[in-house]
Amino acid sequence: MYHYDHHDQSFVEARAREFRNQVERRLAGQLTEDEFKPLRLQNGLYLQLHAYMLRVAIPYGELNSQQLRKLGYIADTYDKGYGHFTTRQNIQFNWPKLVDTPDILDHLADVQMHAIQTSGNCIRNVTSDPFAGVAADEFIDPRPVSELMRQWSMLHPEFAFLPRKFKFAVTGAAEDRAAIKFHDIGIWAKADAAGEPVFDVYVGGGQGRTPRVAKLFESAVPLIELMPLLDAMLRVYNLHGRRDNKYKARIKILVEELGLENYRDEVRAELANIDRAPFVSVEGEYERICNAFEEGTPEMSPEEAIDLSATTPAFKRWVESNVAAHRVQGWAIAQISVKPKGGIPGDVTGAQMRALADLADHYSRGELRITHRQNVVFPYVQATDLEALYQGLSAIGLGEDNIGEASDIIACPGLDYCALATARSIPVAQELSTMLRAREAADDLGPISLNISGCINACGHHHAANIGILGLNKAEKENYQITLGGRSDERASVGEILGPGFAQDDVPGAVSKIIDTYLRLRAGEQERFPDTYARVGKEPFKEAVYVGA
Amino acid sequence: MWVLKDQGASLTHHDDSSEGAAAASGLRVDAGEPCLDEQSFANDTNCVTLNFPSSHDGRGFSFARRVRRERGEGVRIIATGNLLPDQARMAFQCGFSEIHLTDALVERHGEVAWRTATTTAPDALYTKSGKAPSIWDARHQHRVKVQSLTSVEAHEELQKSVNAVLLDVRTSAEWQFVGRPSFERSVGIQWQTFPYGSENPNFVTEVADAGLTQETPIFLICRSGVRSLAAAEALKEAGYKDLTNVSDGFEGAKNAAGRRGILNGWKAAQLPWNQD
Repeated sequence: MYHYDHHDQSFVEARAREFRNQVERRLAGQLTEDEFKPLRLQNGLYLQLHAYMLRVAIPYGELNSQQLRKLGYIADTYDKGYGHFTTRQNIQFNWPKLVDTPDILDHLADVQMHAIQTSGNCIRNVTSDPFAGVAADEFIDPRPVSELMRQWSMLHPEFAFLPRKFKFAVTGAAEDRAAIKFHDIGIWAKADAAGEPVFDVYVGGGQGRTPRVAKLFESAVPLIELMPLLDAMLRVYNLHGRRDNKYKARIKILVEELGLENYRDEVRAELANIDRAPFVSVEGEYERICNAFEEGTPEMSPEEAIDLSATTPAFKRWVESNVAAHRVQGWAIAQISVKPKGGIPGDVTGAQMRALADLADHYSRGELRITHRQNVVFPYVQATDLEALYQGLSAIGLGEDNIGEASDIIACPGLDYCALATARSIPVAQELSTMLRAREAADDLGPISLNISGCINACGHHHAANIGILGLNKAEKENYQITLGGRSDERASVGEILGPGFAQDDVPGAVSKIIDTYLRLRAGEQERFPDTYARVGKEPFKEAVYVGA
Repeated sequence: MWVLKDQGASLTHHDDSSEGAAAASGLRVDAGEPCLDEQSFANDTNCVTLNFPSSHDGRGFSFARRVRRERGEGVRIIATGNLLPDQARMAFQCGFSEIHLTDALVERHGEVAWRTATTTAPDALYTKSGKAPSIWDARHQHRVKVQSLTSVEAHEELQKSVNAVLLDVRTSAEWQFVGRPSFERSVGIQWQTFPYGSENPNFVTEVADAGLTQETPIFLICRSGVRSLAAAEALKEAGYKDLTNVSDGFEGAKNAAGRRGILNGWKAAQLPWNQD
């Protein structure tokens, strides 16, 4: 992984000092709450229903065991003993006190972490493929360009007060595991004929109340042109994005109102005159970062492939569900489900964090990743260690074998924590998880994505799920609307509303009928849910759910 | 009114007539108005005032960038309105030359907050922004160049020299388990520490403590030439003048089978080495 040099280190330390000063000025009354709000947000501090919430960045999802132990320490010392992995490779603490947050930022800086720009109307944490650097289907490792973008966006003086938040995601593999087309700007790294990285740039994706799949802005942009292009794209957005209505302020609305062609013309006009002085060192810096990642990668010699068939059924099923192909033979990418039966998606206790850190030291060269599906990945596991790892995980309640299955639910914190929510997400996720785990034990349902949002802002990514659930408030009662057919991969699409919503108690039954319908209509076990849905359409699902077939 | 200028180094109080009058004679643009366009550049005034209707509205930053770019260093660009002390750094880095503050704003935030506005924040950004220094430039635009030699060439030079030192910057684990080059004036100082690989914050101090001066010819070696180059750059920043990076390192690059110690490097070249 990337390690800070002294420049990076003094940068985060200075930023933590600055925030301490801002908190002191707020407590002294020099800053009004309205003025303090964007400053605290840009250090990841929200005011939620019951308390402050601190969101810490895990840039492109990469962590080491020392950092995870520190997060566990923060969970136990400043929170109620747990943290919550989010859908954008961040971790949230739900109960810190305002006066403690400067100390927490100092603790984070000690292990090369920060909470900079994890919220607010600025460039947010750059997210990426959790299999970056080890995926069997990778063209280009997306982490170096992600780190380059992290540095470029940190405290960018021009883009700290944008019309609205701005999210980047980067992938470099055939399969998009970073949902790049649901981001303001999505970047798909590929290799040109000479093996050099080039970047396809997508713009205008997003979820919320106006879900949009990003459109291709330009393909095969060379590295040297990428950073000036991003600067120009942001400048046009900052000047022309709407500020009269926060629900129409994201770049997707600007691109839609101007038209992609007109937006592109504006950006190209800006690019023609852009100041290139800030970017003269980009190639050297990219190379330096690539070298830093190379140096930080453990030696992985190809090993003999091993036969895992002669083992216990439970381990075998875990391997089938949770282990992904590694680029080096004899090695494995182990995915760890943070979706136990009946549990809260993405919640991990301080004790589990420490235990996971120990397991990562033993079995993954001290490194791990956090996924946008709120799970954990061990990227450097020798296949011969998988069984011991599985047993270690089971012992701490993290041995669930449901990665990519319907019970691997994404859920936002919902009305239990969030000030924006209109309905609870967590109890619905827990009931569905209990029902789905029972069904998955009996039948092979295949991979299905099921996501839950507690309001129209769609933090739970319901639009991008095969089965999406949106919690609303209808006449003072929680009501859950179901969407079908969404997907967040390279064939991204927005789910369609099935019909009238359901009371909380009726949601598991409706989902069960939807799954029955899929199993009945799929053209063989290989046909995935969104493909079946695209082929047969909405009607058979509506009939099963509402008519009661 | 108050004027903050010189990149935030100067905060002075003025009568409302003097500075304010100068600004009023120039072009005044409200960032809240939809007129942030070419007409503003066409104006031949040497003074552009941009008003921030609220501290939440960052359009003025992008607009100042454009004005500075189109009109060059000669034009005065003044920020007025509802800026926060915390935004002063951003304003200067985006090309503003002055920030005009009402007495009420200075009173509420306090003179101290405005005077220290640009020093409490990280002043070095990664990318160059206006006159501010940049981390990327510091990393890449050095005057002194680190010499690069292969392990065979470096070994030859070391034999000829009477005071050159071989500085091994790998981790203690590597010294112990992989072995070290045999050379009488060898020093081992870790660039990254074992086991987490974080940068050794005391590297430069430890080099000085080992008796290496800024004039000592230092040959730096690591596994394959990457860490030693970074270490050499750090020493260069600290004033060391005679630096040579052993480009293929002790173990060299990986071969097609992903193994080191075969293709190149000190070991593969069969130069003398030993193991504890």
